[in-house]
Amino acid sequence: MAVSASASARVRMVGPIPLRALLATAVVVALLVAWEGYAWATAPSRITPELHAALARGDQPTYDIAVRLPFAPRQFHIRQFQAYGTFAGVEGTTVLIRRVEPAAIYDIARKYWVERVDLARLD
Amino acid sequence: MTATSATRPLLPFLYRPLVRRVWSVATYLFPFLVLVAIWHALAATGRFTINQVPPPALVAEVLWEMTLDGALIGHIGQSLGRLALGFVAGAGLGIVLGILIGMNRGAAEFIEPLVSFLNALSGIAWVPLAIVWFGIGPAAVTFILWNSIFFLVLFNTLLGVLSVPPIFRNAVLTLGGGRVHVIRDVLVPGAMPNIVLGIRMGMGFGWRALIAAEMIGATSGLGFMIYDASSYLRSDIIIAGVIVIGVLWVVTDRLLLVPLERWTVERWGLVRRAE
Repeated sequence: MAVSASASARVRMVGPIPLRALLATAVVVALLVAWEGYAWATAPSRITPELHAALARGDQPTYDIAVRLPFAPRQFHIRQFQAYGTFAGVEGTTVLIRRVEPAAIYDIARKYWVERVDLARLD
Repeated sequence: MTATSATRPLLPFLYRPLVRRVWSVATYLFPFLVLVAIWHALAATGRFTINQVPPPALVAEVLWEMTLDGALIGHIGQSLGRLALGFVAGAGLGIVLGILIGMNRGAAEFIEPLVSFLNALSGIAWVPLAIVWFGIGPAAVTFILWNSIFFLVLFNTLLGVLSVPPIFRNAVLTLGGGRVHVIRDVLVPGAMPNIVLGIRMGMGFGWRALIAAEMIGATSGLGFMIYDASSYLRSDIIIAGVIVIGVLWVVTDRLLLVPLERWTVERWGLVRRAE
């Protein structure tokens, strides 16, 4: 059965893949790569020199940290941090977390909505 | 009317690709603009509280705030991650089982009524049982999502395989081909339009089921975000979430699933476009 349609209405292909699907996938991949690149590049600048030094010494398996946000933390942010350590409270816009592993500290610092990650003095 | 005038466009500038594309996007967006205008007018009448009908500007502000504080991106990531997991598990198993069952007519006749029955059930109908079986959490949500996608893809794949005339299968076997050749060269290409249709429908139904499941059985994701906002009477967050859900689906469907379906139908379907 033939269906009349203009040639421009046909699906444009790149090899065996529809062009539009390929472009959409490429845009999504590019955005994800850019996102990860941005997080990777900016994460160290969010960690304070004091915490950097402590991490470089590597004398503790976990650290108590204070994560400063540019806004008052909401339920979403508390839940996120609970995945990395024990939630110890909120002081203004700073969230206190106990027993966070070094790798998790870098994960926290990769979040674009985190302003500063510092060592916390928790009893 | 002469042949020349019949083929010449009435307004040539409308047929330039870029202008036509912009026009197409504008006509697509126009109903939404009308809807937003009506919404704005309703909110501006003052007959409704901000909790009942929050103005569009407030919803836009909430969207922007939630983007900045990471909550929106986080919930979107959670929902899309679950959708991807449910899709891979549901569609993958559905396609494989659909082809295998379709190869045996007796098994297909036995299974088809069951699949048809389970296919007709709404994904959300499984929510209470999923919570009993898996508790509130990601396992229950994934099960509900898987359920919505799996039976649709299985049913469509089965139909596709059964619609392939046996003569093609027999031809491959007569020429010395084996079971693998039959699957690869006959059944999969023959059933492909149905498989892709099942995938598209499965994604649509899965997306709806996911949002519903997240409302009840999850502590993150867009469905949870909406449901949680209702506890604080935050209609602005609810409407923002609804908009995001709709936009995500439209973008996925138009940029990925529609081209995939058109391509499949053109390549393997019965419909051929005129050259």
